[in-house]
Amino acid sequence: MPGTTAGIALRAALAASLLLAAAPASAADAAAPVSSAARPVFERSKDKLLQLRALHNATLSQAAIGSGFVASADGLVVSNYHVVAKVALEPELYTMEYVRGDGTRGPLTLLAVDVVHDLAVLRIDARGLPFLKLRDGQLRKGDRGYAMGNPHDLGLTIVEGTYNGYVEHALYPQIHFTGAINAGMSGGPAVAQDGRVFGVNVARLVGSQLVSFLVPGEFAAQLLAAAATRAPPQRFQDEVRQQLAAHQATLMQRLLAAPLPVARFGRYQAPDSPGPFVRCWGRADNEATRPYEVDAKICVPEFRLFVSDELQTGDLRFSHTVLRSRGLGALRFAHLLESRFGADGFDGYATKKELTGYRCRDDFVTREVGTVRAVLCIRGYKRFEGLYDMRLKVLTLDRSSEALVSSLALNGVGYEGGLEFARRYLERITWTK
Amino acid sequence: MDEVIFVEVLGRAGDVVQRHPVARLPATLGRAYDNDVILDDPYVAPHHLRLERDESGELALVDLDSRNGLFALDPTTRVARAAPRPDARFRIGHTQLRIRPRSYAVAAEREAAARRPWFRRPAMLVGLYAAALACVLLYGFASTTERLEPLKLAMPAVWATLAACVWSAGWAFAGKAMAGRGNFLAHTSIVWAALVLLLGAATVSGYAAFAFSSSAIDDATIVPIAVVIAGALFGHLTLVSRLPRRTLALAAGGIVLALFGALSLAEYASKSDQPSRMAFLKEIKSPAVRLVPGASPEAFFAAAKDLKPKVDALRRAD
Repeated sequence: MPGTTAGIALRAALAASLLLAAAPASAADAAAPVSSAARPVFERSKDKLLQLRALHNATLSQAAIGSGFVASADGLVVSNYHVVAKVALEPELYTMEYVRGDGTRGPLTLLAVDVVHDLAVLRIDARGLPFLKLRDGQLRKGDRGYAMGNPHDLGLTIVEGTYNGYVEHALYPQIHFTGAINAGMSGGPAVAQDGRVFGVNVARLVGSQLVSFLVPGEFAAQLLAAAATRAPPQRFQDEVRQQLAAHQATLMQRLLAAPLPVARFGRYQAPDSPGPFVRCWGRADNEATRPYEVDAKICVPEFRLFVSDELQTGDLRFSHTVLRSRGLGALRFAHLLESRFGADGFDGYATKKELTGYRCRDDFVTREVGTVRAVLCIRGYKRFEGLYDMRLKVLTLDRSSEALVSSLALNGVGYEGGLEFARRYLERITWTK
Repeated sequence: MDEVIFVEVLGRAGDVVQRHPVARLPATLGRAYDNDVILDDPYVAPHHLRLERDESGELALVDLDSRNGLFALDPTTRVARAAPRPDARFRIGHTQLRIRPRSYAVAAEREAAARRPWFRRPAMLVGLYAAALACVLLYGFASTTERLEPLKLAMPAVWATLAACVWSAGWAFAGKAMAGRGNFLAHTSIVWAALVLLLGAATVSGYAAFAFSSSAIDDATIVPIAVVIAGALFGHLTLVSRLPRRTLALAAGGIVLALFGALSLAEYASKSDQPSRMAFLKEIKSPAVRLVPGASPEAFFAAAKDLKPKVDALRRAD
């Protein structure tokens, strides 16, 4: 579904939602009061704003709605990749069109995409158009900003908010914008008081108050420059594949550059967050009525790439659970481990359209410290050759009353790099006797 | 002639349905009421066969130019005339016949079993019931990871008892209808024996699969399970039917094969390649159960390289 969650962390979960299509509005999304400064900004911008629609050719109905803006006199338009994803991946089924504030509409041609930063550049076949300029130089924390777009297909809207610098922990830079950005505003511009664009609306945190994200304008400038000079790719699917491959190569390089950090976990040691872009959360589950205790740690990324409605990828996540018997006995404790180890987990939403089935290998693995049970499952991407999802599960077999169950998920990785990271991950799981 | 000849009409399973003594030769067989042996089969001619002695004194069956003819069986051949040996079978219309002289030597009597078969012994029934309940309770105990509650633990045993009674009652009704005898308790004995064997087989194979880290053992569990179910089915069938044991064994085997075939086909069709399904050995036992050494991490991940062509093949298959 458009507007899918893009990040989950334990139960206190904060989920960043892409601003693609109409999702029911909540009370927290109530419009912020617009100051008198917003009106002139809107007046100057409104003829440069567009609503973007992905049309399903067979029914001539909209399949996705977003926003965009004209960024050059010769008709280059900036929006989000996730607004145009259907047209990029299935050009035979979908086409893009724009609708202006005055209701005029026309076709759009896709020129370039940037999956990693979630940007797209399209072209309107016209010259001499009024356009929004991109801003050089940074705003300062606390500066006013105005996000514009067409939330929930309600009409062109301006939202006043506050620039709050770059998001900490992000793998790819994103601007933290405090303002009521809503579904449908994706791809719309966020302009400073001088009327210049400093960011592109991309996502908001579900379950939060006004916490929104913008793609920094510099990436839009880079993609515009690339689109102006290079011919559009023959097949955007191949372009997306290359960008995903490049992303995973960068990520793997970062992950494999240094030894994987470990953290203590009672008697056990297990991999810890490999960088600020993966955050770990801890939880105890020691209900007094239960004959066992659980200490769990889950590490989830602050990023995840939207590829299509059926595929979000490019991330890694892992969890460790220490289970400790409180009079459960070896027989029943083994059953507890079996139910934990056998559970699939981490898989969420996966469709046959995008992914093959898993192929697995299971065995005992012995190192100096002792023996673990290990399972490695791998599935392939159907539309993106050379990319795989890997799942590693490890269960320590050191005691009959205590064990660590660890699970690693690597999404959209190359085969060799993924295996290498999984091997290092497994080797970092140790314990004291 | 004082010799008596017996004309026997046989049932499908080779059992004797009717036996007609013939005291005087020649004798005729057919549907008409003036025959010596009257056969109520619409495919038999009013005057179908004559049983006589030829010039040399040998018995002979002679077809009286009937429309459907006389067939010698094993192998089936149409004949106009035949010498009926005591074990030879013949067919006219839809009726099977055997001709035996009074002098036919029967086999010695079967020795009656000194004891009743196991499934009819009360002590065995009690023992099996106790064993089955113990298995169900132990199984329930082993798979409870919450705090033990005696009543909750006992429920599976209650349900198993109820289910076995309903199942056995079904067979008992069938037996009453078909063989005139219900054998309810004997049927329950079979259920309990099967339950003990099923839980035993599943447990043993689970331990063996973990101990040897072998998915093959886990996958093969279906074989003893199918055998036990077929055996139980055979037991139930022998209690309700008088057909030969061979026929019943084939029926039981066939039913189980068809059932398991259909089930595995349905499973294959439904989720063979769902992207979220991970097929690996899920059995986990206590560390002490492990009997094989572990692979080195290098060997484990080197072997994982073999998964790539398999996954790529799945991708290409689409």
